[in-house]
Amino acid sequence: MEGKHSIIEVKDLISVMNNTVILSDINFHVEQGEIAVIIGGSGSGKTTVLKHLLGLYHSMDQAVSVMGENPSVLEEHEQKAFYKKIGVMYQEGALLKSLTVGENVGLPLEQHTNLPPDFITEVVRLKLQMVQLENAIDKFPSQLSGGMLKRAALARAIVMDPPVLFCDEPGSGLDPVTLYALDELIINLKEQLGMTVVMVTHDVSSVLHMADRVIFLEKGVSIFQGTVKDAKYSDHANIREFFARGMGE
Amino acid sequence: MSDSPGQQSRYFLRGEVLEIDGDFTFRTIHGFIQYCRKTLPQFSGEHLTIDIEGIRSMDSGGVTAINFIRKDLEKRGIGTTLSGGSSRTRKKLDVFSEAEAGIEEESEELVRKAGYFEKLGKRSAEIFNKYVTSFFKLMSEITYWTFAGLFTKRAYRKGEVSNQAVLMGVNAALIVGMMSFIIGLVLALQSAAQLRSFGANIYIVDLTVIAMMSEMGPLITAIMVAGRSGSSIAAEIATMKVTSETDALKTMGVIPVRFIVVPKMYGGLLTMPFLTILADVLGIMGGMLIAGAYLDIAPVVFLNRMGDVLYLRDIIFGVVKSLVFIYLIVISGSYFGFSASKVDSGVGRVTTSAVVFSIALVIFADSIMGLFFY
Repeated sequence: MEGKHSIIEVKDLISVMNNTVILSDINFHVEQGEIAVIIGGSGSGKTTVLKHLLGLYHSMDQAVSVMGENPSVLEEHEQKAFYKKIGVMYQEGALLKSLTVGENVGLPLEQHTNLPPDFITEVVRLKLQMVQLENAIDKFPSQLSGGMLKRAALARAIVMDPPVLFCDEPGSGLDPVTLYALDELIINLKEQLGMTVVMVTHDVSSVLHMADRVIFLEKGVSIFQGTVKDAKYSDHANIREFFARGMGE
Repeated sequence: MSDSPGQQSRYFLRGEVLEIDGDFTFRTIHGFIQYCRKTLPQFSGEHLTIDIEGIRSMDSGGVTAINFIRKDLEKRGIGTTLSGGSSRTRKKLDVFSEAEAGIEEESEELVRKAGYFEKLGKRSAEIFNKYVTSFFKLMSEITYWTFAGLFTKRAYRKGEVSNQAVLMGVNAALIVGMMSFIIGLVLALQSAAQLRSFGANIYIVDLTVIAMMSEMGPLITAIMVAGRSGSSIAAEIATMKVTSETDALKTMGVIPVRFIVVPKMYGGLLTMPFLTILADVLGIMGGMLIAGAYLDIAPVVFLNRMGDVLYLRDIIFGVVKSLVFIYLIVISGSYFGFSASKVDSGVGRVTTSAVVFSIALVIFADSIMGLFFY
C-alpha cells in the first residue's frame, strides 16, 4: 500500500532476566495503520515483548524502535515526550481506583497539557462517548463491570489521540459477545483516529476478527509473521494447531 | 549435516578447524553434538578453531552447543578460538554466554560447598545490592521530588495533599491522643510511688513533661502512625503495582513517585508536628491528673513548675523528631509497596514488613537523634 512504512521494528530482541532467557530471537515489524496482533501460548513471552516495546524493560539500543525511538534508553524528559505519543490499554484496565472514570481518562491531559479543567472535561466526555461510556464519567472503577472497565481503559489510552495504541490482552475475562463488541470498538477507533494498533492476545477469535498482521511467538522466539490467512495455513504445525483449536476445529 | 523442516546446518572438521554453516538452532544442534561426540575424541591437535562465519541464524541452543563443545575440549587441555561470525551471531554469543556464565558460577559454587563466612558474605552482598541500594535509590528519588515538587507544576490531583493530611493526621488524632494520655498517666503513676518515698513529689512534673515532650510524645505518635499509615501506604502502592497501575502511570508519562508518594509525604509533614504536640499535651495532662490525685500537686502548681522546666528547645526537638519520623515512615511504606510483585502476590507480606521496618527505623532514628540532641 502506498505511503505505508514501518512504525515499529524489533530486531533480534533478546531478554535475559535473573540468568533466565525469556526472549531469544524476536524479529518483526509493524506498518503504519495496521492492527498487529502478537499471539502465542501462555508463557511464550507476549507480554514481555510488549513491555520491551513500552520501555518498561530495558532492551539493547537497536533492538526496539517505536516511531524511531527505543523508549527504554531514552532520558527521562525524552521518555515523557515519547509516552505522550502512545496509548496503552492494560489487561485489567489498570484504572486508578481512587479516581473516577472521568478523572482517570483526563489524567494524561491534566499531566501533559495546560488546558483548562472544563475543556479537559469536554474532551473526556467525547472520548467516553466514543467508547459508549458517557454515563460512567462520575463512577469509580469499582462500580464498573469487566467490559465497562476495558472500555474506560480504552478511552484513557486514546485520550490524546496517540498514533500508536498498545493493548495487553484486552479480551481476557470477557464473554464472547462483549469481546466481539470491544474488538469492533478498537477497529472503529483505529479507523477514526488513524492509529496503529499492537495487541497482545491469545484469543483466536480476536485475531481472526481484527488482525492485519500476526506475529506468533513460541518459547520466546518469533516463529512467524504474516497475514492471518498465511498463519492459518502455515508450515509450522504448532501455529496451525493453535488456530485450529482456537476455532474449535 | 543436520536437517529439520525449513532449517539446515552443516559442520565439518578440517584439520584444526571446525566449520559451522547455516541455521544453528535448537532444531539443528542435535546432529552437531552427535557429530562432535563422534569426531572430536579422535582430534589430536592442541588447538581447535571454531569457524562460525557461515552461521546464518543462531539461538540460545546454538550458543550453548558451541560453549558445551569448547568446555569439553578445554577439559582435555585443548584450547579453542572462535573465528568469524556476523555481528548478529557475535551478539547472541555474548548475551547467552553471559547468562550461562551466571548459571555455571552458581552450580560450581554449590559443588565446592561454600564455607559459612563465604555464604554469609555472599548473602550480605546480595542483600546490599538488592535491598539497600534500591532503598536508598527510592529514598533519594522521593527526597528529590518532595523538594522539586514545591517549585514545579503539580503532578498530583488537586486536593490530594489535604486528603492525605486528613487520612494520616486528622483521622489518627483520636487514637494517638488516647494512647498518649494513657501513657502519660502510667508514666506518672509508676514514678509517683518512688518520688513520694524520697519526698521529691514535685519532680513528677519534670519527669512527665521532659519525657513526654522530648521522647514519648514523638515516639508514640510515630509508632501509631507507622501502624496506621505505613501499612496503608505499602498496601496501596503494592496493590497498584500488582494491578499494573504504576506501569499505567509510567506509560502515561507520569512519575509514580511524584503522583503517589509526594502528596503523602506533604500530608504527613504537615500534620505530624500537630499530632505530636497533641500527644505531648494529652500525655502531660495524664501526668497532671496523677500528680493531683496521688501526690497532691494542684494543676496550678504543676503548670507553674512546667513553665520552669520546659524549654523551647525541647518543643522544637520534639517537632524535628516528628518530621524525621514521618519522612522515614513514608519512605519505608513506599519502598515495600514498590517492591511487591505479582509473582508472590505479596500485598500482605509487604504490608507487614513495612510496619515492622518503619517502627524499627523510627526507634533507631530516635536513638541516633537522642545522642545528638542530648
